[in-house]
Amino acid sequence: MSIKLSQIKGFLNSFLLHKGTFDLLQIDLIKRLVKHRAFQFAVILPNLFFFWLIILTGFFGSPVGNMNLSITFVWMLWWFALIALLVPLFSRLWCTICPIPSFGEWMQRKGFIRKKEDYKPLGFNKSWPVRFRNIWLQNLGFLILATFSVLLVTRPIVTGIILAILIILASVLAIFYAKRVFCRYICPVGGFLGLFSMFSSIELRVKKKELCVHHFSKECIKGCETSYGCPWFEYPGSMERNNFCGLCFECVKACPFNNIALNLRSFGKDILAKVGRSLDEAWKAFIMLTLAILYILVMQGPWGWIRDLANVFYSPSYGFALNGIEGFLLYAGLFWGTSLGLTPVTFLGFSYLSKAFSKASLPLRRLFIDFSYELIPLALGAWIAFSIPIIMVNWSYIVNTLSDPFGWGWNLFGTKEIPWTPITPEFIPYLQVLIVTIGLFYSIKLGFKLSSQHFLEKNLALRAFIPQLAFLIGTSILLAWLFVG
Amino acid sequence: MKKISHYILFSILFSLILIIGIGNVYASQSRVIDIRASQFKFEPGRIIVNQGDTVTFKVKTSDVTHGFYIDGYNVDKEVRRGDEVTVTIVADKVGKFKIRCSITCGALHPFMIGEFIVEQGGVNYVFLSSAVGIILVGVSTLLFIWRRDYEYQA
Repeated sequence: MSIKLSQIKGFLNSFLLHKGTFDLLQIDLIKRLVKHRAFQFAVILPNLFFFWLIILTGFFGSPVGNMNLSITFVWMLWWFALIALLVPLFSRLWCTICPIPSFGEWMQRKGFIRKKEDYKPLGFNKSWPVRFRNIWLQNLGFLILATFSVLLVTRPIVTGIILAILIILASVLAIFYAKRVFCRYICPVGGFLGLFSMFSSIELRVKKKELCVHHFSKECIKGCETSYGCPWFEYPGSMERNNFCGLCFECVKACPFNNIALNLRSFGKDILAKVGRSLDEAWKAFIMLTLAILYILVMQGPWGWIRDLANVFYSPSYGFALNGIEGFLLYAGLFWGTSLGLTPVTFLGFSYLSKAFSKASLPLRRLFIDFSYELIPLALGAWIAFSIPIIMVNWSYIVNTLSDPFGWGWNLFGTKEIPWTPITPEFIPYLQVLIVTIGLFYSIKLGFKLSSQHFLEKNLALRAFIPQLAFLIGTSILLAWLFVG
Repeated sequence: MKKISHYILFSILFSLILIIGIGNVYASQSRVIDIRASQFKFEPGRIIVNQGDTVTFKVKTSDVTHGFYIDGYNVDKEVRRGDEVTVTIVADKVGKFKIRCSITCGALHPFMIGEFIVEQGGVNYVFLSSAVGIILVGVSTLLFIWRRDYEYQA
């Protein structure tokens, strides 16, 4: 293994200055690692151990969330790492190590690592229905989970049950349908991972597209003796977005020309890709932006009565007692109404203004869908801002439960008694405003480029974008009000 | 480009005038605020005072034991059922500070949050300057990119 000076320079240029791209697979260690057949199994295995532990603690541990590893590890540590680090920097790297679909995949492959010579996938190997080949089901699944999120993130047993259901669902779908149908079309986390990964500073792409055009055996799709081919139904040769690339590296293992690159790149490149823009993804952007605002309001705001509405199964003894179903329905209506109705309709109004200001002959639907992608950086910023206090205030609960995962009074590593000590909590609101402002910067930068894709004339692009600017600034000020107002 | 520079300069000047101009000098007051802590809220949830005010919190709990913690003000008290805990502080730092429960009190304990907002002369300068900053960043980003990065991609 050797790293050349030019590689370090290319890496720094790409990572820090965003000048061009840098192929991480130039680094021999990374290339050898991801090409190894055991790579994915090796990274899933330790994660699988934690999943089992989380399910066990969820079912058998303390019912108090912050005293139970299932809550502290999933909704504090994992959530923060996922949204603030993994997605912005490493795209869907979480999907590389996610154990949820692994049982189904191992069953389909009839093994863990090596591909057998006479390989034929186990199961019915059916195709996924065409009408569901979008992310509407993921939107729906995410909204359902989000509606019950106050229960999900505070009741260990709910987290345990949901994780168990997801594993069972992924495994059952793998029996009937080919490859990773669950990850691509069902997983409620996958929907927003795909959307936010468009902003990521990493991408898996082919180096030379023409090489793929003239290469007909397509091992990256069909597989070969060293690879199963892409389990995500993607063709790397035409891939221009991260949305559905789960970074399993099967294509890297398959390509006979070493034509696959894992590039470092500038943030948000995929948002400008003209392919794949659709209404289901636009709605995902609305859902994510709206839910970030609502979560900040419900979980971090001073209005306890909203939390009471959301906390449908509340009883002081930490048990479950149906309490205030009418209130909860009101809360659910607020969630669904704002994310599926109010935000999109408001945005439609601003898109209409964009059309009117620019006197564009383009269909309103086109402008509405395309401009919706500008929301991705701001929504991601809002989610990161929401997640920051979770870790800065509650980190001690994570180390406490490391020593006492079930909340049974153990002290395995001596960290059980570390007191609750928030890290500079008085600065958190400023950090949150800063992060949202960074998101706004990228939203405007990319949004104006989206506008430029439609309007040849410079001033028209600007005029079309002015209502969008107003929407983005207005949303950012609303977020700032929640943080410091 | 000249026009844009003028525009940005004007915006900054306008913002500064706005920020400096609207604040009035308020005399410091002593305030007594009764707070009731219960699963999983503080009532009142939002407390707004002025910088320099002497604020006395009288905290009671109506169910289980709670903590009374204010970000940045070095306040952390245990409040048991039946007791009334009194805390007096001088609101010398401006901004929004979360009031948190520091003793595990149930499932939603990490989300038991209130807000202590310290304004200056009746104005929340932190929010005001954040909003102005956001507008400035937004407008100047657009103008900068419009000038520099425009590409005919249609």
